[in-house]
Amino acid sequence: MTGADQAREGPTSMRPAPRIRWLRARALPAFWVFLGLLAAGGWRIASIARASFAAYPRAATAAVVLFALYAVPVLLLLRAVGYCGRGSALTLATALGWGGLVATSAAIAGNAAVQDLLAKLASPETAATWGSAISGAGVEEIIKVLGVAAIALFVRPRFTGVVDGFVYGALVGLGFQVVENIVFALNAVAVAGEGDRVSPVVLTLLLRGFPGGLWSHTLFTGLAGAGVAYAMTRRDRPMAVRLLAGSAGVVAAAAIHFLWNSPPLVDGFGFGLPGALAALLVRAVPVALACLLLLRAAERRIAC
Amino acid sequence: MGHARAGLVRNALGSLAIVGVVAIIAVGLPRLNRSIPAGKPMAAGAPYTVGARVSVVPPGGARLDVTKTRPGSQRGTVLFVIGGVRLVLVVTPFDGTLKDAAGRLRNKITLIAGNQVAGADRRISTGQGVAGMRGGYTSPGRVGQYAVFVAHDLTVEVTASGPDAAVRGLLAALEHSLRSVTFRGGP
Repeated sequence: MTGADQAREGPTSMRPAPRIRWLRARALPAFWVFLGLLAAGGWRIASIARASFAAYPRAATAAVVLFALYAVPVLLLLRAVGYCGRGSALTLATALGWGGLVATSAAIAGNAAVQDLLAKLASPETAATWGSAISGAGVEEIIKVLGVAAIALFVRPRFTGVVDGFVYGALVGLGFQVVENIVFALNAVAVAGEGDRVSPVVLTLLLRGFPGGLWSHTLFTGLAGAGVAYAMTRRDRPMAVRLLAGSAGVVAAAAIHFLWNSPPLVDGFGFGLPGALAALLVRAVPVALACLLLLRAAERRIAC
Repeated sequence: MGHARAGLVRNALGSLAIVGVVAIIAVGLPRLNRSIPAGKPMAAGAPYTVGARVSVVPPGGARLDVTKTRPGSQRGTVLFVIGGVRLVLVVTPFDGTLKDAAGRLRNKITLIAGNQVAGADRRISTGQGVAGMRGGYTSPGRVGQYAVFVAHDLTVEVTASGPDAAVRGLLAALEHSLRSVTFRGGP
């Protein structure tokens, strides 16, 4: 679409985003890059899944089914507030695919490298204590938000504003969270050393799935995606403002992720279950509030 | 036409930037990691805290692989490399019996393709008096020894594996290390 086309159609933020024309998207390099990365990530995750299904068929099946079901409420929530109607099912699936296949496979390699480098350059204690906070913020948030940028590149100009960035980011985060939880559950099965049993999968769902369910990756990447969307779509604003807002979204998501994985919050301040519940509130409330405020502001702009 | 071409170029550059960042994370960081050695020499005879207040004295000449070592207050893992032999200790919370712990460790060993447990377990104990079980296993081109101890709601799993000759040459030192496993707070 040219600038003249856009001018004829008026500001795209004032109306629901139309569906993507996939035939048109195919003409863009970003589409093929996205597809290539999706295939590479899919191959990597499939090879991990193949090994897990061979070693623990029941536990692996249970993990996939449980964590796929666990994603349904988040999808329903997004649909309930009307945001999923902004893209075709295929486009929304690409966001889930980036999170579940590209981001997880790259993060597995990147996280391990960052944590090993921490152990080598600082100490194994530093890596054990701060490794997941540093790699979560520095590796995972970057690789996830790249998915929003990649999608924006091939669905533009249908990628119309901050709400689109939030929705695609949330879906990327959800895809990441589901696959990450499956990998964690299967690691728990292996570490338990009790063979092909489902109980470590259920325990992982209870310990990781529910406490961090709606609040973690989905909202982190939603926030980062909103920032990237602002930078990519608000052409009425000066470039410096757009870059600042884009960076602020990503940095805020990384900072919240760092806080989320930081040892005092993970350990519940050392006060057992009450501490863990307090830590959950400390972790969940700010990010949920930030996302709600962001969406309200975006809705107001659309309504104006 | 010029506008469309400029848009295509911008799209291609944006795509390249995305591929570049993905490559840095997925390929560049692991390559940088591999370029830095993971082994650190250990002071001879000095105990090393694995985690959860459990310590061990590694065999002389052992190098600590910091990338496979993660100490913690509730659990811990350490990997020592001595010649071609890899000595791994894993400390985790555990509320079962010694027999359960031994069964769990044997399961983990045999789940690795090619590994086969050789013979029955034997009883051992640490210098501190904590009872344990030990046994051996084989895999193509390698042999291994394993041991497990249970105390203070913790289990310590020990495996040492490597080429047959290297493990045989290290048996006395491994025995010494097994006896050096110490639970702070007594047996």
